Amino acid sequence: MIALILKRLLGMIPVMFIIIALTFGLMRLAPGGPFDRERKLPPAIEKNIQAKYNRDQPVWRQFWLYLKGVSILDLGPSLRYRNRTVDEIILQTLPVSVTVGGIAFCLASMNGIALGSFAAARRNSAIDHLSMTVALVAICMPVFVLAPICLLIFGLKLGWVPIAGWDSWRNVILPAVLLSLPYMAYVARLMRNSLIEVLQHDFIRTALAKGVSRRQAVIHHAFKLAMLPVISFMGPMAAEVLTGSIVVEKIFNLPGMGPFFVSAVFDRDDTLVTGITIVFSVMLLFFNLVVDVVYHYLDPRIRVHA
Amino acid sequence: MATGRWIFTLALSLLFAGCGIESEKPDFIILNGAEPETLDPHIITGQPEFRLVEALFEGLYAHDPTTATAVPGVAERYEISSDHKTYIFHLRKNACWSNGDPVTAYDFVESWKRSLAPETAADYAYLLYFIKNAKAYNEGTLTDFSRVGVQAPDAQTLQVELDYPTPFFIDLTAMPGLYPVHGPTLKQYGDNWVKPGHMVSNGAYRLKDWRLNDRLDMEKNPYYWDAAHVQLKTIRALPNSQAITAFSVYSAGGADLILDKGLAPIYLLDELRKRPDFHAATFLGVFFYRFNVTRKPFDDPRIRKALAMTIDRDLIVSKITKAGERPALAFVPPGTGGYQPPEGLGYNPDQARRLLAEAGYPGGRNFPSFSILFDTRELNTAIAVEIQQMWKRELGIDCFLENQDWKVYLNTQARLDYDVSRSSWVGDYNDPNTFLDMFMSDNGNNRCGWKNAEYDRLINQANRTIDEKERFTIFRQAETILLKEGVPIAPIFYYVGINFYDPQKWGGIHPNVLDVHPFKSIYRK
Repeated sequence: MIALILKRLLGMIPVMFIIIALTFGLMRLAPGGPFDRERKLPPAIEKNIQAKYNRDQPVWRQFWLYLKGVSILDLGPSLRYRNRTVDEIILQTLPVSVTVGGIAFCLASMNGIALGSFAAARRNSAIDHLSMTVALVAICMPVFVLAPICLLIFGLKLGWVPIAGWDSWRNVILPAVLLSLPYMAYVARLMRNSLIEVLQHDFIRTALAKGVSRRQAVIHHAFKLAMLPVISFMGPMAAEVLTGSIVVEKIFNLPGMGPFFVSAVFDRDDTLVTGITIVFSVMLLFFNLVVDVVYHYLDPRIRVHA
Repeated sequence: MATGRWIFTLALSLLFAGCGIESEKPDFIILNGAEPETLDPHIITGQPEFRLVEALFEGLYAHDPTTATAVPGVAERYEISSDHKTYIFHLRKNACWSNGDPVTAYDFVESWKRSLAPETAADYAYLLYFIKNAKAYNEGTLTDFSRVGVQAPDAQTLQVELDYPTPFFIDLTAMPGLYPVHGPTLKQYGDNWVKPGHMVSNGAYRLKDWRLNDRLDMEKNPYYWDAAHVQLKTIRALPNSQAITAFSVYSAGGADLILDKGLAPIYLLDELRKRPDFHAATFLGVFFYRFNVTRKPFDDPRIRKALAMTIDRDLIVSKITKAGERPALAFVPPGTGGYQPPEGLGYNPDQARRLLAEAGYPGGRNFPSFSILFDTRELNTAIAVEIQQMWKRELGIDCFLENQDWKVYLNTQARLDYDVSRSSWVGDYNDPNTFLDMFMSDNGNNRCGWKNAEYDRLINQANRTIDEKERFTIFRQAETILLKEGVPIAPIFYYVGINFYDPQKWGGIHPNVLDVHPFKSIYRK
């Protein structure tokens, strides 16, 4: 087990190198630079700025300097927020995203699993149809439509939650719930399909024949196995949700990391783009590893093969 | 479920770490537009930063809240030599930094040296180029700063020598690029000097807290020379770049003042402009179209004139922009530093058709297809669609729309890789020169490929003329060439600054041409 984890961790290094090289390269290929503005700068001033950020050097050397920084967790200065480093921006914004995302993750997985299980256990019943309709609506209804509607009702009309900002725990509720909805729906549908499939297996029929109640059969025998596809979805979902949603954080004006995924690219803030790409990739690789470890415990078949 | 439980614990712990106790409500909350890029006066370039830095720092001169003209700041008064090239500023004795240190003329010399130093990499260093040898020092060709025209004979006297008379120099001293910064703090903290707890400033306010994309808190600076007249004790600036969110926050009572025109929801303007808390005033900004004169058929001035004369500006401001913008027939906004621009080409489709026919395209036949370039924004698209229709209807010519993301668009425009391009310009200071010098042949902001020796000569001549009336006459001659002969541009409308605040509750906010509203004069009624 430990050997497997170590092997996977070592395997991340070349993957990360390729990700960094690609991001770095693509940002340099994009037309327009971080210091371009409506006002064209006199050439001398432009030269001063390029020199300050080492951008007057050959690209391979800039890349080398950047890699050297990354190896000691120094992601360089932001090119737009000129007195902040990328490290500082990530450290300030990631906790906000992790808070909102963490709650959303729990809501999505717990509600999704519960909803999906009920639906599967009472297949074709009213509960099934109702929960699958809810799931379909949650998938189809984009957050940028739902969020302003919820803000209007719960924020402006009823005054239950603040409109925007990051002042108290009340700021977290609406964004976390909204963020969780589409993920919850996916989890519910996955869980339902998977549980229905597992319930048709021979070992469940055997259990039922031996006199185990249907309820017991679902909880003790089918549930664990049915979780497998859900778990593999939860890995990437965790990485996505925890690094911050672009739309939700923008609409609720949360000081999280999400909006930077887009704004940093538009600003051509190369170091910030690469920095948050690194954070996202590390999270993604990490949670995929977690998924593999959890798989090991849930599915005896995998354990045997390993 | 191991993952879930682990995440849950982490999330809970962060939740309590992340959201502090609800903080005390400040006296005044403003919605300020985008998150400030920095608070370093010499580095900032944008409006949101400028508004905060103007509260935190003060130059030799400052902006009058009513008229936006320069009024004494750190300097009490100045004397000017008879050739209008040497200024002697007399500094107040009671001007202090937020730690109690006195603000001296030496601070200004050191600060301007820093603003100009190549390693500071200041965008706005060129505002100091009017000072003798400043350009050479910034370009690195001169390394001895003592040869630059700024000296401090004593702690209260600053002597500045210019290359040639610059009637708007006093206005420049109210710009952040010429603000003083606190040397010892910079030395101690390096790039981190602008952070809360480190920053020492000399304005009416000092920095209390600053959290990325969250809030920026300022408190009254007790050492400020005019502290007795500063009414608001604490001010919070909320960063926000989404109009709809900003407006919701304001409507729910979460903010007292919306300062950024970008935060006014365009679709609601019809309704909003009827409200008593809607305030709009023309300021020094113009929306215009550039023609690429290096490309056929736009190399023919008749074509450019024809296109410019078929833009119905009244329709654009009444149906699209809708915030009370004024149609622009000239490039310089009327009243800029007291200047009245000449009348440019008005709306005249008949004459436009004649010009087009003369140029070889009667009825628009065989006119090559071309594109209108603009940066991705709803307003730009709406205007481009309208103008496309106008040209089709009146001249019978076809064009297509090409929208690009901001940085790509800037790059395309700078490389002259366009036919017609949306543009805008906001003046740096209240003088026609900030608009007119950009179309000189070698100016990096020209970006039309237009060159006119007579125009260059007139602008240079105007900037060496001391008498204001004579100077403006020369500027008018130059602008006439720009608008009626050369026509590398078609001005469309003058921007308005939009603010929202309750006039029953707040006083001291006045509409003015720079859209500046110094917080130190705002008070609760």
